[in-house]
Amino acid sequence: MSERLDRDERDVDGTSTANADEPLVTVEDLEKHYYENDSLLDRLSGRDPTAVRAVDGVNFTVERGETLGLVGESGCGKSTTGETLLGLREATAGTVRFDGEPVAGLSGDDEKAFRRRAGIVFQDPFSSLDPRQTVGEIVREPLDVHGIDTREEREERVADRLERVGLSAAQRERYPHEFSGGQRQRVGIARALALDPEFVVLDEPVSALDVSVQAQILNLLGDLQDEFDLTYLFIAHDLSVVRHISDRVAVMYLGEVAEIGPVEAIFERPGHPYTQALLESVPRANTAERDREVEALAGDVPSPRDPPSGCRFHTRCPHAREACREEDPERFDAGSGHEAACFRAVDEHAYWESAPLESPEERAQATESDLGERDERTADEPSA
Amino acid sequence: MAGGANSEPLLDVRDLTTRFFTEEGRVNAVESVDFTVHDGEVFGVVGESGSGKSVTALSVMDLVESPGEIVAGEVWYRDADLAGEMADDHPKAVDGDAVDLRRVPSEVRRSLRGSSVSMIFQDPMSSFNPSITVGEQIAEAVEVQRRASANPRSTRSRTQGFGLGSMVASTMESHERAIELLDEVGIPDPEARAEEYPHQYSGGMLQRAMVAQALAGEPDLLIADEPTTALDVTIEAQILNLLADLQDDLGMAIVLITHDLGVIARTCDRLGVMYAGEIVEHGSLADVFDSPVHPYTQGLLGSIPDLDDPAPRLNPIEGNVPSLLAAEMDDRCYFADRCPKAMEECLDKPPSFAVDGTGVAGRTDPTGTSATGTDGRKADTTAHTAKCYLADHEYGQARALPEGYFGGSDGGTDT
Repeated sequence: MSERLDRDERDVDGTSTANADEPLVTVEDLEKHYYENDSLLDRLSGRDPTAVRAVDGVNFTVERGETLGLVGESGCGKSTTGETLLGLREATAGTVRFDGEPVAGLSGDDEKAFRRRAGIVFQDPFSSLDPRQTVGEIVREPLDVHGIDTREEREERVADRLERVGLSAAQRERYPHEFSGGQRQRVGIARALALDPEFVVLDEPVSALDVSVQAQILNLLGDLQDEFDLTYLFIAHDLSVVRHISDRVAVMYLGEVAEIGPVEAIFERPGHPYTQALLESVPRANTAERDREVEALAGDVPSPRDPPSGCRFHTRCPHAREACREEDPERFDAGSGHEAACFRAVDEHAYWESAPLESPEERAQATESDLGERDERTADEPSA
Repeated sequence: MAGGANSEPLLDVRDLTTRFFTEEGRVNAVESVDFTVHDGEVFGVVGESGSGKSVTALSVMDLVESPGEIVAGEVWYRDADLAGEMADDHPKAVDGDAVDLRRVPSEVRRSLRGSSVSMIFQDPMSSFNPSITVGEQIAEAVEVQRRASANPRSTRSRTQGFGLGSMVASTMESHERAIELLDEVGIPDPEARAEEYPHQYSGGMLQRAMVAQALAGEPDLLIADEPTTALDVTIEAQILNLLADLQDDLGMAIVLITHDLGVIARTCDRLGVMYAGEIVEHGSLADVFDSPVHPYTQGLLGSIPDLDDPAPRLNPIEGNVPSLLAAEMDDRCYFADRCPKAMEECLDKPPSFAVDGTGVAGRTDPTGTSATGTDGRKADTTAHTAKCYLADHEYGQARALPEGYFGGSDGGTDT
C-alpha cells in the first residue's frame, strides 16, 4: 500500500489538499490507552497507573466509496478505534486525517463541518435513542444543532430520511419504545444520515438483531450506500456479515491490525494465522458442518494491560517460533493491497530458521498460570 | 445415530404449553410443543429471540417462575428405577420405564435435577455466585449429589435444603472431585483455578466451569441454553469441541438451544425450529437444512450471509416476530402475516404435517403396536414434519391472500 510509504512526504508538505484520489480517511499509528489506578489516592501513594492498551498503533485507510470491515473479537479495540477515529475519544497518540485534514484538535466551525461529514450508528438500538424524544425529534436533532435550513425544510428532510430507511413519515410522532429492535436501528441510521454525511462509522449495527431482521438492515445499508454515495467503516465481530458487506477488511487482534486486504484475499487466502483460526472457528450453517474437524485455537486472548512481547498472537499461534517472541512483525506485503503482520508472509525471513515454540496448548497452560498470578495481584482493583 | 431406532426415547415431551400471566395479558410463550430426545443424541432447538426456546427448556426442567405457569403437557423421562419407585403411589405417571414428570410430586422433579438432568445457561458471568470460589461452587454441586445418592429418594427433598453454613459443608472428597471435573473440562492448572473467584476467570473459562458443574451429577441429559452465545468465535469453537468430546466420553444426550444455525449444524442430529412458541418444523439436520418446507425455515436459512460463498443480496423475512400476547394472536398460522406464500387455508391453524406426504403427523399410533398402548404411544417422532399446509399440498396462486391482507397498521414497511 502506497499511502504508508508516502506518509513522510505528506508530512513534509505540511498541509495536503483534498484530492479525489486520496483516501477519505487515513489512520496513522493511532493509539488509545486507558489508565487504571490513576486516582488521586493512587498518585499520592506513588502507585504507577496501569495502561490498558486498547488500541496500540493502528494504521489503515478508508478509500472513497468503499466499505472497510473492521473485524475482531471482543476487547480487540475495534470499537475504540471507530470512536477515536471520529474524535469521540481523545487519541493517546497518532493521527487521523479526514479528507487530508487532521481530525484531532478541530474546534469551532471546522469541528462542526467535520461532524456534518462523518456520522456514526451505534450497536445497541435500545440505549442509543433518547426514550423521551419522538423519533421525529431524534432524527431532526442533528439538523437543529447544525442550524440547517428552515424549520419546514428540516421537517421535510426528517420525513424523507425516515422513508428512505423503510419507516413511514407518519411514525415520526412515536417514541422509541413503540418500535422493535430492527425499526429502532433504522431510526439510528436515519439520524446518522440526516446531515448528508460522506462517511459513516457503523459500530456493530446488526449484532443486537435477530438474523431475519439483520438481513433486512444489511440490505438497507447496501442500498443507502449507493443512494447517498457513502463510505463505511463497518465494525463487527461476525465474519459472515463482514464478508457480505465489505470491500476491504482489517482484522484486529489485541489493539493491532493483524491483517488487511481486499475481502476476497482475506477470506480466500488469509495470510495471518489468527485470521485463519477465526475463519476455521466459525460454524457454517450447512449439513457438511457436522463432519468438519475444527482445530480450535488454544487459550484466551491475553490481557491488553500486559500484552505479550513480540508478535501479540504468539501465545496462541500454532506456527509460533522463537522469532515471534522476540520481534513484533510489521505488516508484510502479501500482494495486491493485502498485508499480513506475520513473518510467514516473507519467504527469507529469519523466522524460518528459528526454533519452533512448544505447542500452544502447553503454552496456554503457562499463560493461564501467569494470568492467575497477575489476577491475584490485581484482585482488589475494579476490572476494566 | 446413538440410541438405536427402536429404543424408547430418553425424554419425550408432549403438548407442553407454558403461559405467562402478566399485567398486559396472557403470553403464550410455549404452545403445544412436542419433541423427543434419544440416548446419546443432540437435539437442537433453534429460533429467534422471543420464540419460546428458552422457556421450553425451563419448562422441561420445571424452572418456570411466576407469573409463568406450565398449563398443560407431559414430560416423559425414561428411568427404570424411578418408574419402579413411582409405580405404587403414582400409577398414572408411569408407563413402562418412563415417568411423566408433570404428574409426580415436585420433590421428585427436584431430585432429578443435577443427577439426571442438568442445565447450562447462556451467561456464565451471572450464573456463578461472585463471592464464592469456583471450586467451592462445583464442590457444592458434587456434595448435593453425594448426599442425594446416600439417602433414599423419599427423604431427598429435606436433605437438599441447605441451611446456614452450607457453603462450607463440602467435604474434602467433593473438593477433589471438583478439581477433577475442572481438569476434565480442560481448565489448566485446576488446583489453583479452583481457589479463584468467578471474576478471575475469562468468559470461556467460566463457561467450562459451568459445564463442569453441570457434569457433577453425571446427568443422562444436559440442557444447554445458548451455551456459546456470550463467547467469541475462537472460544465458541473450544466449547463446542469440549461438548462433543464430553458427549462421546459420557454418552449423555443434549438438548441444545441456540439462535445460531451454524452452531446447530455443527452439533445436532435432529432439530426443531421454533416460531412464536411452536415448533414449526422438525426433522433431522439434513431434512431441515437441505429440504426445508416451512417458509419460515427457508427464510431463516436465506437470511444468514454465507461465509464461504457470499451472495450479493440477502433474502430476509419481511416484518417482525409477532407479539405473543394471547389477545393479539389470531387462531391462524402465526407466520402467515410474514409469509410470502400465505394462502386462504393459512387462516386456520395448520396441524403438523408429515413432509413425506402421509398427511397429518399424529401423535397416536392407530395400530397400537406398542406394548404400552393404553396411553397411545406416538408414531415415529423423529420424522420430518412441518406445521404448514405446503407440506401437504402445493402453493396455489389462486388461493393466495391478497397483498396487505393483514394490514400494515402504520402504512410503512414493518421492520
